[in-house]
Amino acid sequence: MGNAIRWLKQKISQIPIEMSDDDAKVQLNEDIDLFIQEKILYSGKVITQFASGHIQNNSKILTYGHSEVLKKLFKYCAIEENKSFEIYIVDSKPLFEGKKLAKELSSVKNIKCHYNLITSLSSVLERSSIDFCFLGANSMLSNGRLYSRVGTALVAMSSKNKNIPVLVCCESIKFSDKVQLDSVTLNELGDADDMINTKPFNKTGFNLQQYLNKLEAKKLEEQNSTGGKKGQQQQQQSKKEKDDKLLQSSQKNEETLSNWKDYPSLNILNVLYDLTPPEYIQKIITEVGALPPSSVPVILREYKSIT
Amino acid sequence: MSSASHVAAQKLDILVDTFISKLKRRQITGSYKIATETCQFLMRVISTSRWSTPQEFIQLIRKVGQRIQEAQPREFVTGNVVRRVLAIIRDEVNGTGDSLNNANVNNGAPSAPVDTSMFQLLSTVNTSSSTNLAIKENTRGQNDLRSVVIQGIRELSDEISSVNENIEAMTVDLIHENEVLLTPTPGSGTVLNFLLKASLKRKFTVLVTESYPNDIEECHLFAKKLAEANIETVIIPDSTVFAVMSRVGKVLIGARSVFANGGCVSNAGVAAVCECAKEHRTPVFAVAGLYKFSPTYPFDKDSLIEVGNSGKVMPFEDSDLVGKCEVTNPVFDYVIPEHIDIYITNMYVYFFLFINLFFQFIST
Repeated sequence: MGNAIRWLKQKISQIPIEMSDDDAKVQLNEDIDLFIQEKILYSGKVITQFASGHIQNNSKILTYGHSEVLKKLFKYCAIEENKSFEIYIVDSKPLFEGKKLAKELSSVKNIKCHYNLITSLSSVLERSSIDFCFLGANSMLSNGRLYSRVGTALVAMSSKNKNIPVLVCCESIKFSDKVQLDSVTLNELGDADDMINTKPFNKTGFNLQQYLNKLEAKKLEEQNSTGGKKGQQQQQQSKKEKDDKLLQSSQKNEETLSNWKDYPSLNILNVLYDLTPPEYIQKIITEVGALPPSSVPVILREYKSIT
Repeated sequence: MSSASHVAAQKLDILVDTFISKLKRRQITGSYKIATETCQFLMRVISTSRWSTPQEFIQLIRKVGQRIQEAQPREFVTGNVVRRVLAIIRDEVNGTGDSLNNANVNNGAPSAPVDTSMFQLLSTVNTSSSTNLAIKENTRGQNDLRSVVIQGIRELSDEISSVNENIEAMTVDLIHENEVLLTPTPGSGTVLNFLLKASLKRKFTVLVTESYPNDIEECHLFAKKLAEANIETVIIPDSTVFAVMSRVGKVLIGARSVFANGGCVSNAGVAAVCECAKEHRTPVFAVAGLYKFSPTYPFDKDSLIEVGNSGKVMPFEDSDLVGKCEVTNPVFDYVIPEHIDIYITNMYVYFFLFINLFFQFIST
């Protein structure tokens, strides 16, 4: 995104002073549309052309998470080029992006989908003879490292160790001047509460939880304040027991760590991105061609000289 | 006399069949429970069984052992316990072989060591035609052997239950102040104990991976227990392992079974973590009680890995995916010996290249 904004600023600075504001706006809009077409939509198509040569009939592909470019690539190969192949989708908590990809690809006729979690990665690699590993990128850094969804590095490392070629499909707009040496120095944190669920997508929102807590407190107050006859009390007590049991049974599904914030020594780390070293990557496929990870700064130089 | 032995054989069969059914139905799960139950079972088998020579005794126990190993073929602990018991028996028989043979000396049997098979062929012919006196001597010898072996099994059972205490003794030397540890096996009681005891003397941080979907509840309980002991704990998702590995000082795993080549079976995801540690040159420690060490060789890695409920990976709520995708959920993972730096057990500390020396020690 930094690249896009930089490009826009440059475009704005290039507008001649004489042009009126409205004309300038119209021209900028046109330029932005052209930018989107060139750098994002067409790049995707060109990358697909380049990369589809790798996918043959009956090949087995490994991929991690969800990438738009890769989705286009797989759909193109299955539908336009009519190749039938198998895809092993590896997914991880808490985002479960692989499920999105699986939903889209499982309805395509020539593709056989396999879905696994990242803990079963080494079993999958052992059992199935995978031909290629395709990974998507968030950005490519200047020192050849791939900055992508957390877990990509693990997949790339395991594939490399089993001699499976790792290919990254990345538009040139995603190349960055930044240099980073490891995943921990600069990263993004996700929501810690996502980690507490033992089942996916079962979390009650914060407001709902507060409302439920208020309801509970009200109920307890009512039961304490009613004096009444013994019979009534007994009835209420038995009712309360029943309610308690219901609450308990619904709380059993509630997590062990729902009060994790009360423990000062307990922390939850949920980072969103990680860095894959260039040794694990065989080839980066962009719309300007296929290149090794060490050539990223070359593309950046070219890109700067064009605009 | 024969009807009594018949009754005894029936009792034995019932005993063996009940235990095998328990194992097959997974009424006993977990290496520790299985090991202690197997010890109890073998004590009962030995008290009810009848035999005429020590060789027959050994054969009987071997047959029983083979049957119970087949009941849960991926749980190697049953076989290991039976092998240790056989070692105890063979020790006793070798040690008291002379006194048994002296009892047969009036039959002209040579007083040779008992387990030399050629001589044994000759002496069985003689003992089958032995007199009442010899039989009485045999039964007395039998009872002695029985009680000694049962005593040995009791010691073995004590050793198994005291695994945690013995491993604790080594904690202090291995962890230093302000170290960051990573553990991908939160379901292991041994690892938990190790860390709790180490926290009494050292201050460190523990990163715990979630092991979703099979061990996630154990992970949360583990983290809670560590936090209650005031150990700095951080829960990380399984995908973050590579990202944090550069900051980790040591990786601590709990092994489920250890094989003759030094490889081990552990929870799913551990193989990738150990590979990652190898890439970063981070040391990997495996803790396991001695009863988990098996002299079998993992020829077929696929048969070691048990596959669990696919519904945990892709729940039925995702109905549009359920029929269309192949989903597997392997519960275990095989870790190759080169990825583990050291095994910590209740008796010794092992490096995989020297593991065969250890097996010579326990299986003969």
